[in-house]
Amino acid sequence: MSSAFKMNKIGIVIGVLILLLVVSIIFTIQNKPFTKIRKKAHQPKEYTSKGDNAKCLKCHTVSRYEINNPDDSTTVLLKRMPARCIIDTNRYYTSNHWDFKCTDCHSDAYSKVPHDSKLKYAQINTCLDCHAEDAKYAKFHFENIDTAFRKSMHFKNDTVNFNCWSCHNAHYNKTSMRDSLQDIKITVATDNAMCMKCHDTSTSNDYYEFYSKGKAKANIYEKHQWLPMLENHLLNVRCIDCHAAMDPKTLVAHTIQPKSLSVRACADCHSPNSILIKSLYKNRPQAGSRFGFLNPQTLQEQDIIGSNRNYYLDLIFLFVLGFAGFVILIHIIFRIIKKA
Amino acid sequence: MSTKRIYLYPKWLRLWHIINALLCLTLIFTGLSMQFSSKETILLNFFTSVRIHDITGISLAVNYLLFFIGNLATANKRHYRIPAKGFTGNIIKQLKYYLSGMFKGKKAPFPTTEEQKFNPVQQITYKTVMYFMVPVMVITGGLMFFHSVIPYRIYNINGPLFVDVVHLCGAFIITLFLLIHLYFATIGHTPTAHFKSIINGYHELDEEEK
Repeated sequence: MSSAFKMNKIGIVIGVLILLLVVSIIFTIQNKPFTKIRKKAHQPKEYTSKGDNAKCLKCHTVSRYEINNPDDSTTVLLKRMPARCIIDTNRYYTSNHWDFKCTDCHSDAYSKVPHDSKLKYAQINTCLDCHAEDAKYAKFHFENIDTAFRKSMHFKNDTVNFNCWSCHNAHYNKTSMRDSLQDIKITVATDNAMCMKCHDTSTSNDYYEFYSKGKAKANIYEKHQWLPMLENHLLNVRCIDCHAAMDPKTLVAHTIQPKSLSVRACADCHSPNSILIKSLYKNRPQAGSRFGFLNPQTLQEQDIIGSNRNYYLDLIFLFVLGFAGFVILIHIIFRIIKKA
Repeated sequence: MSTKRIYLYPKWLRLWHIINALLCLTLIFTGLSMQFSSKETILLNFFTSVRIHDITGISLAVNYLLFFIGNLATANKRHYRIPAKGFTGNIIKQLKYYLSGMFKGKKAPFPTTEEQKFNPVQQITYKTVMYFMVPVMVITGGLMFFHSVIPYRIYNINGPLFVDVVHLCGAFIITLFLLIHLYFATIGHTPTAHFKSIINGYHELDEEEK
């Protein structure tokens, strides 16, 4: 066998191995998020309030509703429904409050149509009105959430108007942190949507102006331009992870901090003792570090440089470098002795 | 004593080499700063490291193109052609020289010539590093820079993690190469001879090479 042929054979083998590697990578690519390990048992919901709600939702699901003309019983009036009063029933019946009757929260007086205009000034219940000191909801620590919320700059800026519903929509609210197997991106998107309702400069609504009493809205995209990989951060980290004080007594931080106290140091997240472990990943399974990765609970969905180091890889690198250094040292000594 | 010199390193190659060396050292330092980032870091802070690493990485990729095109267009590529004859034997012969022959005053089995400036060990390592490791680093680094293009999962593990670990292993191999490369560069007829060569372009021949 000629040596040229032998060389070609080695080249072909290396080429085929590289090709196999590339092909295997291509075939194992999955462009979908982390799949749940366990499927939740499907429990069909037994709605008990749909019938009662139908009367309200007949009008509160459409942009134009009909109402009897009080001046002429033979005609009806066509009126415009304000956008904030239109309910998306799909979202409502899959939210945490899915089996509530409208009048569980809204005054019984709303049963009368047309509604008394004074009703819109009626006090609306907050979370604590229903959930306080209720053993069934103890795990949510609503009292602690309320204490944390009262320390937030949102509440301090507007103690009259700012309440739970300023961020959480009672009709559609869904817990996003409780399901530890849920794709973390959904949790991030759900939570950030609450902030963006007021803070997004690309949409025009008057929420921000209302709560800030006319203060101009800052462009949050411009404000965050300093962040490397901005889009990556916005999709994988919640606003509150940097802008709210962590509270060991609650699952989700509710004390929104002033800008000056926000997290600015990259190493707060990009380090072995990343703050994300105590915030965004607080409820994730505390997986054992079987493969030697630091902070393995983040590894199903993210790779946080500086936070996900691998202990064994570090050790191997250090050992090999040390060994190479040692061999070089011995070689130098021999060169000196032998004057080579 | 007059020494015979041969012109081995053309200007473009020396320019590429010095830029590559500086960029590599910067990438290693900033990469280490990111990998071992902590709140009490003694290295460069994470933010500055990211910025410098990004700029340096892109520069290295562009500089690599200079090497690739230069090697393709000039006669320098001949040094990367590994002779078919005695592939393994030549490597063993060269390793034996490094490990014992040079201490016994034996002649280098593959002396530097105008036709072949690398010995078999250099050839295989330089070829692997320049035509496999650096492209792997440029591709994985590019993927990390354009993070959103990384698939969610590869081999059923987190895609970004997979790319990160490959990049990290590549960085380690290149660091190891750099350490050995720098040491081997001291094995000339004087410890600084090779360093001078890569600056002025001329390789001074040993007595035995003449």
